[in-house]
Amino acid sequence: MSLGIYKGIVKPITSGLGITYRRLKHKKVTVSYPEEMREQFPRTRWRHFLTRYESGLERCIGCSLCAGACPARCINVVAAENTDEARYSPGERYAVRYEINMIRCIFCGYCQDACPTGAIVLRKNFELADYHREDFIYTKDRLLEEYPGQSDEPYTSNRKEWAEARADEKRR
Amino acid sequence: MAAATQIETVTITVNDLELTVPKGELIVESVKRLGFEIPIFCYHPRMKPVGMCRMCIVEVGFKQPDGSVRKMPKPQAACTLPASEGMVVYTDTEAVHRDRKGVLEFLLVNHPLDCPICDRGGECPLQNNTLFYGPSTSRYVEIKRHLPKAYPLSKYVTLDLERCIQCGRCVRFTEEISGDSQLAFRFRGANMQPSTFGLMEFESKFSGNVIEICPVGALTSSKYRFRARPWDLQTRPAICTNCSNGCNVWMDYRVDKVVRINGRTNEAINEEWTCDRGKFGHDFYNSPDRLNVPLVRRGTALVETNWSEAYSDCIRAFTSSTNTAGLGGNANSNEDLFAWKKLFNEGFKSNELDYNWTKVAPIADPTHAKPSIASIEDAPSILVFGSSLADELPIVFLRVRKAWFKNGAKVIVAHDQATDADSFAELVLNYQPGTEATLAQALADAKAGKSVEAAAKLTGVPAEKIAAAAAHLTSSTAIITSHELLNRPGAHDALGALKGLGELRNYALNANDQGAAEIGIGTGTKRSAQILADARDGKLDALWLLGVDPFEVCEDHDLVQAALENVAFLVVQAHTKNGAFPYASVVLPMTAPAEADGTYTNADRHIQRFGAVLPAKGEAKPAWKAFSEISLRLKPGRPWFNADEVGRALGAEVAAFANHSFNQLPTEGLPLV
Amino acid sequence: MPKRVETVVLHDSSTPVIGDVQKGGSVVVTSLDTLLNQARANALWPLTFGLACCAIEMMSTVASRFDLSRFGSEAFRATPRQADVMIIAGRLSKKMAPVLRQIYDQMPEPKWVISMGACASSGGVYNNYAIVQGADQVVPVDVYVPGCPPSPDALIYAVLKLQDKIKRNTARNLSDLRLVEGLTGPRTLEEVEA
Repeated sequence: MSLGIYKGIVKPITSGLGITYRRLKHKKVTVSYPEEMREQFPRTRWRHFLTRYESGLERCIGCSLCAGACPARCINVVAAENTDEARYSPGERYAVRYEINMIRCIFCGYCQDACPTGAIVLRKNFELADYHREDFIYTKDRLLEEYPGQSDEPYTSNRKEWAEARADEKRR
Repeated sequence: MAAATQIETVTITVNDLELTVPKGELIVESVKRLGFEIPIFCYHPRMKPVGMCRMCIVEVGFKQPDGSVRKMPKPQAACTLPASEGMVVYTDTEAVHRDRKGVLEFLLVNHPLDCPICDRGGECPLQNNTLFYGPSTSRYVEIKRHLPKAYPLSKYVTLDLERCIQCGRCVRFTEEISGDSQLAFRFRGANMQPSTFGLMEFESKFSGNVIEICPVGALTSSKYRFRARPWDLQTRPAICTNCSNGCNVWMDYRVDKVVRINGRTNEAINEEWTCDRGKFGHDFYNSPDRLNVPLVRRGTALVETNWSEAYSDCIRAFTSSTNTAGLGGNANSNEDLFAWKKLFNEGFKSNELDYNWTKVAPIADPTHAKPSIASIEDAPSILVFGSSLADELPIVFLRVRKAWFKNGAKVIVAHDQATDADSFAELVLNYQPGTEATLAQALADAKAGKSVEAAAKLTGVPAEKIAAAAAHLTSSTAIITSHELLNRPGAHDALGALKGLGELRNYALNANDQGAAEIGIGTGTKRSAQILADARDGKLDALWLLGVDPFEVCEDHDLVQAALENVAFLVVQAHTKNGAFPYASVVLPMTAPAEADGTYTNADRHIQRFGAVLPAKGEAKPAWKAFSEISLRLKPGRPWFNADEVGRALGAEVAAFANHSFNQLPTEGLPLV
Repeated sequence: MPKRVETVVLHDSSTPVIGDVQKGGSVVVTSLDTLLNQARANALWPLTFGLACCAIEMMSTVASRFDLSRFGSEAFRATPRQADVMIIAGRLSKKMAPVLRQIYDQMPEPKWVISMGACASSGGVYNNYAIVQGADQVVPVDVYVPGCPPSPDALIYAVLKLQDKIKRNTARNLSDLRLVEGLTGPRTLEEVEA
């Protein structure tokens, strides 16, 4: 009987707890996401940005090649001509409208590949979920980075550090 | 086709395949018969070959008596090489590919790689040929040629000299096809540039064509500039409705907005050319003045309403009196005009409809004989009488010029002013204004051997000139006039005299004038001017304006204004706000030509289909639909549901249109029976 | 439409915060409402609705690396009667649409929907005859997640956004609390959009 209790109850529990004990020695794999970020892979493609040159001019020349390459047909570009009074990009042409339907986009990165000036890039901001469908039409003012080389750091390391670094950057 | 048996043929070998072709045919054309492709830039089938770009080089040899092939030491340009007996052509050898690579590398030495911002990018022969035949890299590291970019040559054409590959297509077009010789090359070597004289304004009525034939983005459209890329566009076949020639065009639109119009090949009508009026005259489609909802006058203001109320107003005014009339004009389909006539005849019990605005009425032609526009080419001599063709019917002008340039036709121009056709005319009879009838009679007299001295004095044309002109006139002479002649007082006499001198072609001016005449509009007792005069005098109770702005088509603006002010009830049915809009009692929005299915009859009685390209704006309806719905309110019955049904009803009533309804017509159209 | 700026309040999963809640209505209902919202938001039981590749990411969201149980959402249910939130993971074909609707209808109130991935949210690349161009044509969607597929982090972010939305919900009267489904009926579209 006692053997039965041992075999039936004590042994399974101890061996089970043994597994638990052995696992305790392992490194914790869970990333407690909202507070800390897992490091995204180098080629991760998420939110689009329209980049600028060091001079502050937009890289985008409104050539629509991204729209042509897009398999989901989620990009709409309307081009216009630069004038000396209103210059947005070097050269003759710039995008007066640039819209991405973020909810139709499949983040394949073909737009980035097709872009002749490296204007459209996909960075690592994956926090894109939202409540309203119409909010997913990212217009040019949302896509255009605020300053040249705006980084996508928060999605690679500690969020707090990033916030501080960004505040520093902005101050500069 | 008796000539077919007389064609001398030679046998050539293309890539080891034997081929029999007419002697002297260019190799670049011959290889197409076998489906081989030779890349080209400067060659254009409608222009003389020049061999400027060297892109079409092939290896050529000749069969020797012993059966071997002796190759020419150097590659030959296929576009200037006529086929001869025993010729052996290789288009696909190692050497040819190497040479093509070399040619393209040279062409790209000075070509800026700004394809992403170039309007030609995506539909560019240079891009395509480089992709298929060119090198993947360039060895050229030096600084490229730098020239002014985006130089506006004219209102329509922008010139980018950096992109030019000096193929000379544009220069040859203005010399050979349009004949205005506006473009020429200046400088030599790598600096050679096509330009107007001193880069002045590019004044041509056909400048749009050089944009289409330019194999790179050197000549681009100023209106289409940066509007869209080729992959943003959707393209549908369309018919130009800006004049009665009915040119076939491609309509490119982006998100329901027409952005450009390109020529579509139809050998019977326009070959592949377009005139600037047609190519760039599509602004009204996107105009902010487009009418979207029916309007009715309440008090002094026009207020938006629904169709039902607008119909009620129209019916009340037009059924309370039979003293009503309708004026049409610019560009309505056969369906619209037929439904209009039917509504007036049966619903409103009136037949006072007119579409024609010339001073004298066109001569009713019971035989319906209208030799085709294409047949102008074959005429040995052409008399252009009282018509400035390049302004009125530009594509007919190109045919006349082609007849002279290619087939050596003798062209005689008779006009009271200098015209564009004078430059290649054999004889120019510059008569005094108002003496058309006298000159026409003098030509007939001279042909009959009578003296023309008196007429010469009256018209101001020397008698020997009249005699020389008459000597050229035979029964196969194409005599071309346009409805513009009908604005002259002696038009009927002139046309009567000209009729016996050759094949008379009195072409209409507006898109569907010919169709309106065939349908029987204008058979009422009053002409347009009389209708307006009645309206002015308060003798007219209601007037219907179908797609016409009387201020545009009638020279007597005071009469028009007085008429529109004094008519008791005025219906303006139009697609865009026009001059008559402020006077309207009811405004009915109508679809523009590209927004509804319809058929159009052109000047030489060729009927063509024009399927809807764009959606209708707002609540606008095709005119025939509105007429059908009004008829339904007057007398219950079965309405027409689509343009094809209207066309079938038209065919049943007017014999000429039998079996010419929308669905029965082929893409390239049919001549009326 | 003006751009809506949403400051996302990130939640510490270990220490629930009772705050960031808009107050409204009567004292009793408001307090009860806060309590109920906290309870509901922190125990969102998802309904497995894996339709395609997004489902693989949805599964890994529950696995140890991302561990959705930190937010009380580990209990994936295979029956609609025990689920609070439906995660539509994958392209929704037109044939599947009525099934999806039926299952949604079988879920007890209060219930929420997360549309996961480009295909479920808008049809994505499948702009064709077979695919519903957005699950919101069939059921009211609370949160859309872009991505093809969205990574587990992105889905967790969406769950957090949904929790946020639930916590922001304010009740003005007793029926707003939606305690008994039979009395209140389903949410109106306006309520979903709010």
